Amino acid sequence: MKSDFCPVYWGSIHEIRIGQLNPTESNNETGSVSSINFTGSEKTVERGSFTTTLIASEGLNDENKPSMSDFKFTKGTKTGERVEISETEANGLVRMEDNVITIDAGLSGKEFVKTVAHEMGHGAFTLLNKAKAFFLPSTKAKGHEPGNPNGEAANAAENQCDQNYRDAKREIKKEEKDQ
Amino acid sequence: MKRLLIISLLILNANVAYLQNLNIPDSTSEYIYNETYKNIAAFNIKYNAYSSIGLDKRTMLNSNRDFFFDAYIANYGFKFKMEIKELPQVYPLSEYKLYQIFVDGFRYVGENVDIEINKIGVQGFTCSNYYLLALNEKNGAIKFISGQFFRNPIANDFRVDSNAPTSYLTYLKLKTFNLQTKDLVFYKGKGKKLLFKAYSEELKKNITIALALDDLENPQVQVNDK
Repeated sequence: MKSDFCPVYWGSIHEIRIGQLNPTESNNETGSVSSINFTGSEKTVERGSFTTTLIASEGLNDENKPSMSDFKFTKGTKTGERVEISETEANGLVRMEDNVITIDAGLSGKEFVKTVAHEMGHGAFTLLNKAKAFFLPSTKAKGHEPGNPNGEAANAAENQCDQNYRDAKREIKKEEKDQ
Repeated sequence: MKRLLIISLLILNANVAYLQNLNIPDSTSEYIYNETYKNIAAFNIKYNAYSSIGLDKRTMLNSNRDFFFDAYIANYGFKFKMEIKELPQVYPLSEYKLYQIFVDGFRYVGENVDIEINKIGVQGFTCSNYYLLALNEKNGAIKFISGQFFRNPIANDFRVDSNAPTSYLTYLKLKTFNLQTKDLVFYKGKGKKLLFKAYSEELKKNITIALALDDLENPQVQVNDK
């Protein structure tokens, strides 16, 4: 089977690919998002992913990490002191590169659209909140730790997409009935 | 002839000094850093890169900016970010000391510049934040025990008895260090398996650990809470 990579340039998203997210090879502690154990006795399927590279400069730090709701950004100075800075300034110290969304090749129709929306939600949050995104924890939950605003943004985008899809379908049916 | 010998000795001496710089790091933590980072990178390249490059095991590079290509190996002048801490717990072999390593995803810190790189959402990567290893400081031997890297067998280092299931508790606690297990208790025997219950601080969930007596190195962990 051949994977089908399909680059799409859309806003800040560098590329959207149709690829494979769920390795067929058994691997310890890797693979699907919830095979958290030694041999993957719990299996769920990963439908999409958003990856990016964030590059922070000037010694940017969040003094309140690992808090996911309360951030206090500081940067280093030439005298060696650290000074508190605003979130806007902090965002300016983070560069975002190589944003890629990958959608599992096995998805089609509504699931495909919802997954794109979900991953775009991650992308939009990260783009608008680069400093926060930089310091949010990197765990097995991949942004979906309880209380992580990145995951909440993705879920909201997916729900919105789902709602729009249902509304559109209802409108189409109504139109067909009226004709 | 004498001149040739001196030149040869100088070259040999330079090579030895170079190798010493490469292989004998200044400190224990630097040594642990090197060995652990190589292990983590190799493990993730072997297992996680696969999901990044698609179904086929192609060798053609889509882009040098692909995550699988540059997420796992540090750029020149950058170091993989990890926190190394010696633990007070005792390993059964007295010449070994236990070390915890905390890793918050694939982050790289500049050695001479105030820049940190964070690779977010590495595909196929189910990040282990906690790693555990045992180091023999006399000869540099390392036993990689728990975490998302290649691990060494350690069951033979422990005095365990299948008729006394609680004798496995210390062993299992170390094997499931990546899940930060606590309140680990023996639950029941089931065929050739021993079942234990615990709470995972890492997952914030209750878990059941199944230990097959004929496969002690690979405990199976089942999450109880959904």
